[in-house]
Amino acid sequence: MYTYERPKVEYKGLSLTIVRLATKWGAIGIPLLLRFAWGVFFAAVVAVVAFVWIVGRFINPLLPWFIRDVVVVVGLLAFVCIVAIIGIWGERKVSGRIQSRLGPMRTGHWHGWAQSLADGLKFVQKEDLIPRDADQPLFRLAPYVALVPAFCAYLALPFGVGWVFRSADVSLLFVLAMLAIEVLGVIMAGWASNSKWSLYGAMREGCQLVSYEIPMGLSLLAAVVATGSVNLIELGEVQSGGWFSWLIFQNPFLFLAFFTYYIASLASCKRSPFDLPEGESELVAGFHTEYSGFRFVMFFFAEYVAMFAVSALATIIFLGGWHSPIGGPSSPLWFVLKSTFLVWVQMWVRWTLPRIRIDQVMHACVKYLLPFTLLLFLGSSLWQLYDNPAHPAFKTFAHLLHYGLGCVGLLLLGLYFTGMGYGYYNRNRLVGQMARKHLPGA
Amino acid sequence: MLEIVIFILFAAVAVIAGLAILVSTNIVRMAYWLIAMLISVAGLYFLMGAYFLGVIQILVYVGGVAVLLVFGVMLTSRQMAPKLRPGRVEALWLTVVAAVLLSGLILSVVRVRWEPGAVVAGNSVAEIGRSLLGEFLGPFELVSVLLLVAMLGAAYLARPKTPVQGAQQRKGTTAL
Repeated sequence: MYTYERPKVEYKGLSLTIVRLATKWGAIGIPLLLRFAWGVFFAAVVAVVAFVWIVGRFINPLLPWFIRDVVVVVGLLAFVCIVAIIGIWGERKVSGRIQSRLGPMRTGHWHGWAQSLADGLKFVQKEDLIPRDADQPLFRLAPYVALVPAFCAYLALPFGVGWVFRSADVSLLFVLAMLAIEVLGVIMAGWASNSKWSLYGAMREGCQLVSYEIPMGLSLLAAVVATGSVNLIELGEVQSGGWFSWLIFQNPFLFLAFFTYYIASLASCKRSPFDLPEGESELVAGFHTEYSGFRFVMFFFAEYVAMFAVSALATIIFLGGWHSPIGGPSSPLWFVLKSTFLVWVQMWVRWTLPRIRIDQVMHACVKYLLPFTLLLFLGSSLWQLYDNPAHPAFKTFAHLLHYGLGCVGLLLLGLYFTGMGYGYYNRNRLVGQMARKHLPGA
Repeated sequence: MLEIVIFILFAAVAVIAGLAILVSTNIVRMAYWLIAMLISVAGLYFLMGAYFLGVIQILVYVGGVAVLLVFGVMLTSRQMAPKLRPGRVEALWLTVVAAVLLSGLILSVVRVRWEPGAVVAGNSVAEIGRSLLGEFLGPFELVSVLLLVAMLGAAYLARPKTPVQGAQQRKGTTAL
């Protein structure tokens, strides 16, 4: 009897080697590491401290700063990867809940928490396809051009006072500039793929990003005018002292500017309802149609990294940054918590609103959002002119309005929590028998 | 020492990218080489401590001009990538113009008495803002008028030469 035997092919490649080594060594190494996790951790901390001390004392006083930079950059890289991994898993869980299904449930046992890791492992092992007629160097370069600037934005993003890689005078502009570079990678990908679907996707993206950058910057300028600084740490420190000192409640123009910024940031991250550049279901996936394997993952990472970056910017500038809403001690945890909340709202919006057409996207920006943000900018400037001790009557009015806006904010937050409680109380009403068993509290 | 190494790194990238713009025939690649050059020049600004200038360089040139450039390239070309090769007469003209510009540049570099030692630049954003809206208010406003005129001109050039077919009927049904 003849049985077909597959010819033995030795698969090669860097990523495959990494996976092989990881599975081979990981099987021995990871259990050992877990057994002695705390010991390893403390030993590492002691070793690093001793090393830095010796280097600073005996070799070169500047080297500890260099080591600090390396450590912080590695930490930021890890943070960014965790944001992307948890973001992708969270997006799938959120979309599942909103559509009355479960989302990933199996990988990693607890609510499929390891799904993104498993996907990543799968993507690493995939074949690296490049179309024959593609512009090879640009095709290979494009994912990096999309991901690296999005990461660079974090270099100037403060997580708290002292919790920043480089505190520059112009950190706000630096973050905006880095987020603006990202579009180049997308256009590069679309053009280099040499496919008209990719090119159309890249064109849509280019149109959208270049237009929405303007309202985004103008909304932030309204806040900058109110504080007189483009240093993100100063912008955050102005708002210490609880809920009512947040910049969003300072005057009505800033209150509206937060929402215009948020809308523009949705567009700049290619999030729904502005996710035309990569509408998977209708528009042949847009600029990354020809990408597969890990290059595709890098585009995906870039999107989630940028999502967190724009949310972090909104948090620092409008929502009090690292200060707690009840006036307690400030902490980077507050900052991460608020930014995560804004990222969750992005996901919520994505699975609630329908996608709009590209001409509607442009109309919405150029004819409505742009004039509106210009008005906000003008109003914010005029407000600064009158909101000073020279105009006592206006000062009282501004004070009243300030607390009124704070109360509106409290009302919105209360409505949100009420809705959350209502949903939790009625959690069994919509979903089916199978889904209900897995929901929390079932 | 480290500064010199970083300077050479950025300067080398700028020079190589600048030469690559000249050498390459593919117009989109030229645009990307231009962006590489602009970013490395921004890196030089950062090295000199002119953070505001570097950031604005990236924000305006790389983020704005380069994107518009890529757009223009893609919208104006029929083929995906038109080859650009100058003819003989063009090459002659270009040589003359380039020679004049280069000699002017070299002359100015040689003639100017460079002061060794750092000049304290208007580093902080507040200072730059004050001088823009104080001492240099006139030129600043003139530049903004110039930009407005340029924008109007661009809009005039980009308008459809003949009325678009069917635009009238669609108008009523457009959602926005």
